[in-house]
Amino acid sequence: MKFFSIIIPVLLISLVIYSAIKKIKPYDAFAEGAGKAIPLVFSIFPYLATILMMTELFEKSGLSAKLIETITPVTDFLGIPPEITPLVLLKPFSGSGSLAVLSGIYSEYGADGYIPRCASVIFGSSETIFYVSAVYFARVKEKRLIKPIIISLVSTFISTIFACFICRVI
Amino acid sequence: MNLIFTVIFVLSATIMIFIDPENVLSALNDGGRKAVELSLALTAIYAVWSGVSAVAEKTGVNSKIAKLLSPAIKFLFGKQDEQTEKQLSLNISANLLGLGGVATPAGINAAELLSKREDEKGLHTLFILASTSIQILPSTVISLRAQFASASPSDIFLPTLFSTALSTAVGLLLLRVFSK
Repeated sequence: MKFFSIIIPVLLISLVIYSAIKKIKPYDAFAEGAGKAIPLVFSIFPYLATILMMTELFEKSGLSAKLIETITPVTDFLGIPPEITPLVLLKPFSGSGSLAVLSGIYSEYGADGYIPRCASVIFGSSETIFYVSAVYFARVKEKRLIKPIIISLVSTFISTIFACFICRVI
Repeated sequence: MNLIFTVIFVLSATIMIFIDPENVLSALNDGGRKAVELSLALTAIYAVWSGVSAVAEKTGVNSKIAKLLSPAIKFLFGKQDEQTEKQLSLNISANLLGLGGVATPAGINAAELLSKREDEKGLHTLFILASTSIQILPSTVISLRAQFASASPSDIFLPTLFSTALSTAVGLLLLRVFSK
């Protein structure tokens, strides 16, 4: 997998060289962009904090374990490991919340191995469907979105099952 | 999200009253502390990637890719006027590159333009593309794994690409099947 670890560095080098060729000041542009990280984190912090407090209670109360235990027969059948069920359930609703859950999985299981990789693929290959429906279509008056929302949920679910399978192979 | 929060919060806290009432507050504090730690990690990650995407945006890489996408957009959305096509390709190319800040405004514009012409099929196609996520480089995930000392943070690149391509393909296929 050496090839994939050089993708990002190579892309970054090409980008900086290309920007220098196009006479864009890469240093200034980079600094301007990097500064946007702070407001971005500020804007998601409230949700990270709220979701993490909620999940903490959810776990400590044993409710999370109970819920996972209840749906384990179904997820087992589909090949979804119980450790990542909370991520699968939360992802369509909240991007920052599921990011919080993903980092929780890393701190518990590390960043390598089947469970963390599987969680990474699920997080990276899916989108917060309900957020998209709210934001993209904020200025659309007639919202007949039930059909596409269901289709999105179904296809994301299919790719989740696929992700759990493919992480066993590559 | 509000409903989920209310249900989980009330149920969990009620159970805690019976099993471990002392720790309701400490659980909340733990959650808050985790959020602070995660925010610090994310600030570092976002500083890198917003820096990169600012450079990418200024060089006009995304408008180049947008041009390359034109045939695909004609295929998916049929004939559109120039403005709509531009917003659509900007949205899709920015999503491919993971430039959420560029993708969202273009997506909102495209949705508005499509809805003005009552192009329901176009709206639904845009929704499926955006909500099944077609990002090529899962930069946040790779960086977060690197922060958690992964031996090979980018080894999820291929499985993520296959998986996201599958969800988009299935989504578009289902949409074709279920719209007359």
